[in-house]
Amino acid sequence: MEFPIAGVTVDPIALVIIGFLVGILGGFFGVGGGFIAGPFMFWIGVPMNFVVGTDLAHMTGKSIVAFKRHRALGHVDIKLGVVMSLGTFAGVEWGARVVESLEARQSADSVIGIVYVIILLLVGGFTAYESIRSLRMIQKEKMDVKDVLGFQGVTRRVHSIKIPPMISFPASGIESISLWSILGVGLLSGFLAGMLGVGGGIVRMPMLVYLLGVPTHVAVGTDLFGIIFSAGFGTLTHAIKGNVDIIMALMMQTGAVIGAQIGAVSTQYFTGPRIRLFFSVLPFLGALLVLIRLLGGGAGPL
Amino acid sequence: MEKKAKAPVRELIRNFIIELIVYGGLLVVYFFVVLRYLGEPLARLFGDNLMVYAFGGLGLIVAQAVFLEFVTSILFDFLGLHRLAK
Repeated sequence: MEFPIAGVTVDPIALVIIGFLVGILGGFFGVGGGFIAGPFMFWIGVPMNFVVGTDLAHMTGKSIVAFKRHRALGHVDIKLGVVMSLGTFAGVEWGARVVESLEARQSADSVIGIVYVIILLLVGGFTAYESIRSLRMIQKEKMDVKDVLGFQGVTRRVHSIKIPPMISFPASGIESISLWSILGVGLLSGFLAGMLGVGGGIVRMPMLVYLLGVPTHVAVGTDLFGIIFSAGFGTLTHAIKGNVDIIMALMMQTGAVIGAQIGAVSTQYFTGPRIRLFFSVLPFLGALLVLIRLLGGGAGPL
Repeated sequence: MEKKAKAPVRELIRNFIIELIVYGGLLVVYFFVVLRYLGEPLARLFGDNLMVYAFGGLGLIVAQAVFLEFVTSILFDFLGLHRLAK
């Protein structure tokens, strides 16, 4: 089928299937899934300049659907999402400026690619190690809990920061935490998102769990809430530059909506550590896709 | 996966398959409607005014998300998937 805006012929069923698969990931893990959808879109013939913008557009709609489903399940902390978004926006801008300075030195692609691979391997490795440890703890101590953390040292350290103002997030079970800790986590995840050119869910979800101590299910829903704004903002900026094919995005969204619902509802049937264990595969997959690109075997976006 | 959840999961998967079939039928109709009425005006807008295209496009994405969420929620209720929610 011909898409007049992007000026290419692409199979619409392939777009729906990509949307569906990434929708499941989004609903289940609270990630935008751009690092997976991007290479697939490029592979089926979407021009590179339309890949990122169009993916962000469909991500906005998908996140709205998954967010609504998670909210109905009580898995969203809107207050936390709003406060963290303030730090995220500043971080995205910071990251984008770093990219600009790297581009001026003509080393952006290799530096960003290597940093991306290292970060994804660290996130994936740590999440896998911690979730396996948590599952063993639950088994060994016969705990009947929905969520448990196998590695709480970092969380305790973040909570021990007492720089005012202190705020509480009852929906996440956080009695008191420094506002600066939340903004800091938002800034750091935004910086990585801005620098790596991704939505940021792949680093923000583990940060919510391990740094702030947010229960996994709430982290997934809250992360989706943040993605609505970051992806929506990204859609506008890319569309103004002429890099979004809305028809393609609308088609991808039809698949993503049903996938996101399936993903969101499925989270109820898994404990927090098990969701994190499944999640740990994603960063490894993302790192592999970037490595293939760096080694010249593909040309997908970061 | 937790042992207790196995029975509802089986029902969940069955109902999701039914939902996919019903939703797939709706999609085919939707494709024809979107392509017929939206494709050309959006392509013209893309060439004429990118600012209006950007905001209009985002509006369409949000509107479609809300509409499809409404449709799938009705399907959820119809198939009893909401009853499986803990």
